Amino acid sequence: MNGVGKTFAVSVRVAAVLVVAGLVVYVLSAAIAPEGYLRASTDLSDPAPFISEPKPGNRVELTEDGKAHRLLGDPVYLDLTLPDKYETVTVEVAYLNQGQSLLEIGALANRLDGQYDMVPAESRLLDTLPWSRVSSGDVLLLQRRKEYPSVEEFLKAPPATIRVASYRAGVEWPHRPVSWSERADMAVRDTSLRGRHRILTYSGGEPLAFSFTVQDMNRQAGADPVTVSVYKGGEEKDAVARTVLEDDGNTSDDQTSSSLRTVSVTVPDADAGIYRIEFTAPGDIFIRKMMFRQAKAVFLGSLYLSDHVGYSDRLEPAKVMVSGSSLVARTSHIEGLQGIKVGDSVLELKEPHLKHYAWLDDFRVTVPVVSPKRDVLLESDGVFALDPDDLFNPLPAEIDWHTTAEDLDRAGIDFLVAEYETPESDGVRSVATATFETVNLATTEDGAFRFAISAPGIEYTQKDLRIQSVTFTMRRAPTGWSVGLRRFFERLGSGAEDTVTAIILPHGKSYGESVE
Amino acid sequence: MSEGRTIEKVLPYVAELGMVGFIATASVAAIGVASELVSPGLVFNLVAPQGIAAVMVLAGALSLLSERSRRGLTESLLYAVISLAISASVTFAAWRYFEALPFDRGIITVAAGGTAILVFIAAFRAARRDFR
Repeated sequence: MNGVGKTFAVSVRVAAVLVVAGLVVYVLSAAIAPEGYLRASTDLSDPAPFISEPKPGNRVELTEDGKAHRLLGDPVYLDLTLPDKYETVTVEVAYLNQGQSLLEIGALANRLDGQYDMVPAESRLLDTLPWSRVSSGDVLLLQRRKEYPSVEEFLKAPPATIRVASYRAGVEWPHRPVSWSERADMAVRDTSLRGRHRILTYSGGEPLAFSFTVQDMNRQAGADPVTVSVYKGGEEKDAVARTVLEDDGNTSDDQTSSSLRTVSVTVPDADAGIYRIEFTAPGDIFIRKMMFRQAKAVFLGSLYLSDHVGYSDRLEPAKVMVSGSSLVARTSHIEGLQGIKVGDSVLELKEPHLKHYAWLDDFRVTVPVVSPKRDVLLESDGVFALDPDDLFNPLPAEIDWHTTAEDLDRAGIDFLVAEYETPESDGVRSVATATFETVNLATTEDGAFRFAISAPGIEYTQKDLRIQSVTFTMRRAPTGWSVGLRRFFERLGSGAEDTVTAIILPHGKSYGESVE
Repeated sequence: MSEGRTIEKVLPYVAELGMVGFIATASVAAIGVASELVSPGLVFNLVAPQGIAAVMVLAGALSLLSERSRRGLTESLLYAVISLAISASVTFAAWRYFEALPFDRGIITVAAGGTAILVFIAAFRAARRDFR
């Protein structure tokens, strides 16, 4: 075989060197992002830079035309592994929606208790309600009949709480108790609860005091610290009090239950008003007893009745109260399958991990719930109480995916307040965006940021919602090439950042599941 | 000009492209593997590793069209020992690295080890040439 000409050989080599050099520059450019901007996009099918496949895989399904992914379950997670630090991440979801009432975008803020910071993406109810609209900043106010000229006037002199519904509105809401009395002794509630909880209470000016007796069951590997934070209603930026209980010293998953320990939080000079108590803990922490000074204390959104394995041989049915328009129950274990009594009817839990729904009559109806076996996570758009005496519901009704205009009529709701912006749409394809500050985000154990695309209730309604693409845009101050290169080489080998707890969110949402 | 003579004239060029492409792709793969150790995902998040492997296999196959080298027995044996040691290391490293993918681990490991062996076979076959 004859050889090739020198010109050809040199040309091919020069071209190869240029291609390799170009590739290196391209990769460095993405890693350094000298202009402070990086964009990555996925269609959920093909491998995409920095973005994982959708998780869990069984919650999405490629459509027949292969152009989108239909959501089958809630939520779907995407992990984003960044090559460098950025200040913000903007998530842009392009989708086709045929009937799904609610869509939200969230980001993991706390890995310990799986709290996500959720941002509304689309609410069909808010978009279609033919009420008078007025907005100020992010806050949108809808009125059945226009009674307030502005959001500011509304917040200054709000109507009675029972006339108002809200949707992810971080606005202060004044509570005016009809009757209120200070408790003489500490209330004792010994219903076992599992993991994180959010408690709502009211202080008329007496010292606020809550005490939790906890047990670390060591069923999963890793440290299990407990943080109890107290937030004053409407001032949810900073906690007014916080107590941390360190791990019991056993970080293994040997299922050895620790001794009982107590974590308490107090606010001696509490001003009168509503307080949120955020009990932040992983699922290994079980609350065995709770004591509090306040006359009223309810659990907001969810209540996880725990098993007694490794604690006690006695397992009596747990009776709690729920005040809301719906109840969702699910258990993680076959042993937890049971018939839960909800008022006069029975909600049969037939399959582990599956959400089972019970519909209550009204936003504020109070119904007793009895769980014979416990080991069940109860969720509601309202509140739970461990004792009927503890019950109060000072917040406006929260609208959910199943809320309809007729529900609002029936409940006598005249105002709807939300932090919401209608997504861009050309009539068929919609694009919703949400921006998160990375300093407020936790990472997975692999050092990735985790985002959730949530279509609440979609596994129940089977509505057709198709995701076409998800685009992440990361931004930070421009660095230029020289500073960027220096930072890049300084960072090499330092490994991925591992942020377990970025912030504690008094309004975050937990999906109560662990996804790898 | 007969068809056979045309092919005979074109083949060296194809082989040359294959050889240079193979070395270039191997360089990219080496950079990728090195960067993966210090900054996971930096290269293979942007350049699909399966794409690199595919180009490497194609270029390696084309490079086999070049003239065979004539090496001495000692040189060949030494080359074989080093090649086998590196290929075994690559196979072992791939098996360890993809531990988190229990279902795909086997095929990925075979692919990585196979690619490494192909690399060495192709490099071994390529002859030193003097340009005209």
